[in-house]
Amino acid sequence: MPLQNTSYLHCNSNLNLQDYFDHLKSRVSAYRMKCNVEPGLYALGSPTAESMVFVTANYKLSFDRLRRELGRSANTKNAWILVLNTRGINVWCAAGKGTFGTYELIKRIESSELTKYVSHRKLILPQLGAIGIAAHRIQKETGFRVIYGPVDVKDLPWFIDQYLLQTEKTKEHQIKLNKIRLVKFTLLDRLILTPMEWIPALKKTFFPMIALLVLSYCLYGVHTSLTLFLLFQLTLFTGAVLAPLLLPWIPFKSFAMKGAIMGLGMFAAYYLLLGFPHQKSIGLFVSTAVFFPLYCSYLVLLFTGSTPFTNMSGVKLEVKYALPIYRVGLVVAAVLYLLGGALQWIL
Amino acid sequence: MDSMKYLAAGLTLQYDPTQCRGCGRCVEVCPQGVFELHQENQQPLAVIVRKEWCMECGACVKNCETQAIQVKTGVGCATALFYSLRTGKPPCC
Repeated sequence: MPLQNTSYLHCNSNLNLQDYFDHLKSRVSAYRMKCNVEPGLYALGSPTAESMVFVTANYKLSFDRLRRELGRSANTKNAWILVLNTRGINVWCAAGKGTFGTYELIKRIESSELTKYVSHRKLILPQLGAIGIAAHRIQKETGFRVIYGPVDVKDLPWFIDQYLLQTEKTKEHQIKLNKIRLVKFTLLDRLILTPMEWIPALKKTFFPMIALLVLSYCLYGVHTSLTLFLLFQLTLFTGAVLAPLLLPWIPFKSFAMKGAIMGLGMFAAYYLLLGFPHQKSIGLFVSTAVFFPLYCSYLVLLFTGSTPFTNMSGVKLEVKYALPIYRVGLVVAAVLYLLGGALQWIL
Repeated sequence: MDSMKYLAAGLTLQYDPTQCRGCGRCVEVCPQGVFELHQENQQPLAVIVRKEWCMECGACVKNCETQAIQVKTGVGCATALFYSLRTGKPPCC
């Protein structure tokens, strides 16, 4: 079948320095919101009518990682890539939102005229896209049969070469397949997420932090002011970086509890190692002992949205119990802090 | 540790085996290995083997042609819930 260069774009499986720099920026800032590729049909290498079709999102990181992995296997280095318009969001989040969805896939198959370019009727989708795709509906509406690949794209070459294209599937194959169908959350996975927990928290608390510093200086003096600054930064680091890294080893399944434990631990360690100007005011001490662990708890509770294993029912329960405690704690801490400060002036 | 369990209280996963055709899609799509395909009277049948790992993503519901599985889906995200409580709109993060 002669290939017309009219309705599809070209791409290759090489990633250059600019691509990797884009990925890095996407991991640490809001740059990821603009890091997209054009949706539509792409020819990777020189595909034929028999070449496989892979579907992905138009988030550049998703697209780049797919084309790089496809280049690793002789069976896929020439392939078709159908990029859905997920508004630049990655596969999993987009599937949850519905943009990596049945309707968009049907639309994209039609608008790209995919049937003009391939003679088979098979699509390979990332497993995490299944949240948004009804495979039986795709088959009914387009005639294409959906095959879900593994969770992680780096297992895709194995899936194609050692599983899909094998006529004889052994028990070892099944064991490995079961493994690559599970979503993991390793230390490295968690580490990569910490910049986008920590940096936004630093930005959001910048002006409140300045206000607190100035107020503390006026009420309590420079030593207390600096102590509170340090405690605040330590809390942010503990809640946004340390707790996520140590997540599986912190007791309790509840994230709010994990955060409270880490916050208390941080506070106790600070007090034991550096002391505390509590001779100034017992009210101040209690205020900080209440506020910082609860704030740390709150920060870790927010991490539930970045994990691949929390369920909504559980998070709802957590919020139901934690929110009133945070509210009461904040009021108690504020009152004690201000009362203590007032007493500094009166006495 | 590669994987972790979360709170299982309140999980909304429901499955009616009498509706199962044994197509195996739920096994294929579940990212937490909740289902397995077993043989019952020479017929394939989906079985829940680890319910407490369910993250309520809804992939199984979406891909079950006979609607044998029900789950109340939503993102397990506290930020989304706080947004919803603050604005009265559906959860979004």
